[in-house]
Amino acid sequence: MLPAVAAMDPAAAGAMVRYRLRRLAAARARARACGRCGARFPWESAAGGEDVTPSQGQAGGHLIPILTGQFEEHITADVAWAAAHYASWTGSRLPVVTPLLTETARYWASRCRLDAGGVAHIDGVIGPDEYHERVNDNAFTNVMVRWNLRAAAAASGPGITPEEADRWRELAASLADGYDPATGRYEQFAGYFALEPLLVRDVAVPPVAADMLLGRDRVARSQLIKQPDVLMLHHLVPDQVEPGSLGPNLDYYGPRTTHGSSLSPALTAALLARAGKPDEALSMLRMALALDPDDLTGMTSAGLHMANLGGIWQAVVTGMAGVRVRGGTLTVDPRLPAAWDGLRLRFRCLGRRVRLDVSHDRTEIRADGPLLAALAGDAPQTVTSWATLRRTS
Amino acid sequence: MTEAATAGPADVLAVIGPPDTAVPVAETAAVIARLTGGDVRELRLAAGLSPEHAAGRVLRALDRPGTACGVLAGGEPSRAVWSRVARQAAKPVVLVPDGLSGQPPRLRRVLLPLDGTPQSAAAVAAVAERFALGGAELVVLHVFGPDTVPMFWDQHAHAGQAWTREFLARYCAVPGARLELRVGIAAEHVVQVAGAEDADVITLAWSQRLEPGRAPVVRRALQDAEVPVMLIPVAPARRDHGP
Repeated sequence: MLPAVAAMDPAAAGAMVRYRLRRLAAARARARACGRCGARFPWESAAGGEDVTPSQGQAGGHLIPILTGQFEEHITADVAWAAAHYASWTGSRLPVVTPLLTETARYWASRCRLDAGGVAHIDGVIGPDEYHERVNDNAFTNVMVRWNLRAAAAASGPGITPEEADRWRELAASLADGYDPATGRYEQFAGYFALEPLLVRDVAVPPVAADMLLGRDRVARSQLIKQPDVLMLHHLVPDQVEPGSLGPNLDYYGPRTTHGSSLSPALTAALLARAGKPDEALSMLRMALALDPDDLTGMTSAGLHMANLGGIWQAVVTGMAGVRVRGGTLTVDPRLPAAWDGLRLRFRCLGRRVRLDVSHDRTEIRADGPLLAALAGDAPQTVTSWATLRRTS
Repeated sequence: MTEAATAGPADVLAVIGPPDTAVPVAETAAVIARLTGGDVRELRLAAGLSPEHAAGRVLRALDRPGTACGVLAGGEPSRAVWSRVARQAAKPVVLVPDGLSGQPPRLRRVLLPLDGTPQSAAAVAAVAERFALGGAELVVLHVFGPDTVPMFWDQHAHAGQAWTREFLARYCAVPGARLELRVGIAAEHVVQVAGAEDADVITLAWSQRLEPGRAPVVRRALQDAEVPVMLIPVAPARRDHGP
């Protein structure tokens, strides 16, 4: 949600970050209760900041434990990422969010296990693919933790000694990530490749809640996944994954993704666009767009799926338009579907109101004040008040 | 019973056939009549009557105005009659299984399997309301299978609650009704859940087609259920996948 809100209403996004800052005490208490340092944020959070995830639910007539509150720990790195993204996107001062980076890094530093060979592991977690519980070395979790540790070390806020920052960097470098240079693939978690090689087309037409069709145990023994897991790294932290690894991982995990999570279609659309498959991306985007209006979940009456709406924004802005903000520079790298004549967007970033006008042969960026912007492959230029940065191919 | 459920008293036709089924059929009819607020009308089928003639008599009696439903023996010996009646009746038919004896029939709890189509929901709506007004507890059963599994299921607690509320609102908006969800083959779950829930009757909307490959749930319920099965005709129509 936060990337979408930061681009539409930066003040509201700031409130989202302050919500986390004000619940650092509860997150520290949770970490201490787990025997760890730093701060561990809850999977489901309410007013107090304690974890309010239900502990059980019904599945096919059976009461089952819900383990996300205990084991879906990547939320702690996600909170840090959201805070850093807010600061980067809006151009806010990083020190404001530094406590979120450093306290989460301290949690991870105390959470990792170093083996005899000096490789760091994180055992017993749940990744974004919630069909597989209590797995070891979930690539998404580990690489997000790597990003978290490096970001905290780079922030070098008050109370961080150079020695502590160095330890974070060393730990980040030693984290297992399951990457295989021979194939260009990340293994989703230790042992994933050895699971039953089931493809979603073998069981149903996606999207499908495969756990409700096949049962949780069967799905857990298979390679079917609920939503992008490894691939979320390519969306959130593309600088932390191996260059050129999006394609191989999309080709491998795509046919295994059931899209049983309502977050899945939109983010898959963003990934497909970035992989240079905008027409396939549009197909997934249409599914995401229909999710609530067509009540594909059968429960829109209970409320709109806000994360899907945020994902749709990301599919269009980050995926199709290729908008990123790095180091105070807005970059644009469009991938338009053939069915679209063009794409016009208005959003906010770096303290400016931005208008983006993209067609298949032209990209224009306009802003209401000086803005450092770059088209893909070009050097950054300063866009001045409602001036246009234009490229025609 | 469909149109009569909320439209005042309606009689129940008790079809008395083979002697060993007469008592359970009459008792079941009496229990249902208490819910419909009407009387039990008995139709006695003479021994030796051909199935075609017997079914014809039952259907004509069912067609009489003010008749809610018919109750008749549903066991294998009576198949030739009940299968004709059930396939042609315009009103609900309650089939009493062989060997239903001992405890007098009761209607404390009704199992209402629903496939998530507006057509089946509409077919059973009036009956469900009548049962509920009569004080029976409604247990709605929906089975997720290849054709009915949801596309999305984000989290078992939150999704389960929201989906359940919406399913009941759409397909069985009767106060107090509760939903049991199962995964697998509906035909296998209906009888199992009826037993587990101690249901007194199973109420099924159906297309009135019994040829091979059709109505597996009805076939299984009639074969294995130890309680009466009410079959409610529904016009064939395209199903949807909601909620």
